[in-house]
Amino acid sequence: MKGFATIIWLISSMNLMAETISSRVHSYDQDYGFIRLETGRVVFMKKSEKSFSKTMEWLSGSNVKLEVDDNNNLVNLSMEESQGEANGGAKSLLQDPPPFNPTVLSGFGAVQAIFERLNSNFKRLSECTDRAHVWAYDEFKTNNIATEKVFAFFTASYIDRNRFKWWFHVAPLVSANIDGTVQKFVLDYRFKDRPASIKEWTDMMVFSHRECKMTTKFSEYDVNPQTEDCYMMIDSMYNRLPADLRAQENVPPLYRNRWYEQEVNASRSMAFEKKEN
Amino acid sequence: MRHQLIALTCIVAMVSCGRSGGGAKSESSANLVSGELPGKYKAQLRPMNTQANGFLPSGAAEIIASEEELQVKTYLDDDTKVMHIQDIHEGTRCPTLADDTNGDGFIDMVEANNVVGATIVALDGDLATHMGGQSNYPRGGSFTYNRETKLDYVIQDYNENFRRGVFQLEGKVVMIHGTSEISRIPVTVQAMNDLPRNLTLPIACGILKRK
Repeated sequence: MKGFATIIWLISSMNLMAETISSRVHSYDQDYGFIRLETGRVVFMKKSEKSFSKTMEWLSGSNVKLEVDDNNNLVNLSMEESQGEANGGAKSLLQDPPPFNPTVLSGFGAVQAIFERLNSNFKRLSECTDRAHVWAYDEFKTNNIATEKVFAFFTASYIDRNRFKWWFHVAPLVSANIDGTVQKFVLDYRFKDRPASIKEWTDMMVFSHRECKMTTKFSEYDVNPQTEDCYMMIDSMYNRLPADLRAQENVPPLYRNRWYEQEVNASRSMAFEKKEN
Repeated sequence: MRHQLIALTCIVAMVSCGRSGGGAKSESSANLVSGELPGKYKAQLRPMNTQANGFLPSGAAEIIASEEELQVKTYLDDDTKVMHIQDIHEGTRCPTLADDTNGDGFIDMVEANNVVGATIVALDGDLATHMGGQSNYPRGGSFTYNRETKLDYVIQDYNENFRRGVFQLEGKVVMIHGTSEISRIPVTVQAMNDLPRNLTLPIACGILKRK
């Protein structure tokens, strides 16, 4: 089915198209009727069109262009040619999780210093996955500081209840020894004006201010009973997408334990302006 | 609608007038411009009151101040196609939840103004005055706004209405307002005058820093 170069799917709608989104499809939520995109965005189906769900299932992993109306409802969907894996499909094949030890900084001043030197020259239309990946890569390559990534995953019930526009968000996470205690800070320059605690960061997105349930398995979020608002995973800086976390549960598992320069370059090109001369 | 636009003008007047030294254009503006003013400034605009409609609006304000002109560019990526009131304020920090004095979880315009203070430049159709530009604030979900004016006009307007030293941009607050009328905004959110609460709700804020 995916061999079709292009299909055009017009969904009956009188609303004017408001936005065009290009992305790979992560999954389709049949119960709540929305599409999760790898960019983190969510696109809702109108209730009358949820019968398309069977069609949507095989779109997972496909590159699509979606047009949405003012209410973030799908108006038009077309498939696009696959761009291929930015990392060339190459991933480490390891039986056990590779050891990863994030750098523990000394004091909050070191955290603030990293925040202030994050590349702020990002494009208006850029994705959190690309920004986070480049920020983490640059800090590692320039200053040899190993960061983690923190992923917040929003449950379908939360998305539906709040008409939330994203199903996940990601940012670099640094550790620092503050007065003898190791604390973690999220570096999300686009949305926060300072290094933020994980709770402060999630409160920006979880309006109930409930804590996100921590998990080490993506599948726990994927099949969750919709009793939480949000799940959270903390993993190494090498992971860019939720798919990278999901792959850790493959048989055999796929763990990332290094950078893929081609992928970093692609993220940089997608998310950041070129340096001014 | 006309009633609302008049009210909008009054809003800005409320937070910036009453301190006027009168309408006399007596002093040369040039001698009240800080010699350090010329330069490039940028404020990263970060989301506020995100619970209103489930979106995280963000953008930036970029200002070039030369010896003679003030060029302002702002952009915002939002998903509500409404009028976005946007101003430069005399304050030097953005409000936080600690400034939510009525404890409803929102920073409304009244609470925000307690922190950011008076409007010193309204980023509307006429940069030369701090008065709100009625219908000339930008509209749209995502927008880009570009305006320029003679710096003298801005300084003169500032001198006539604010007797608080030289006009400067470093450290000043840029704030943008406005969300959809179908947003979830509790009745405890305070608007100003007759403007609807959704149009006055602050949605993004940042601090100007020299580049």
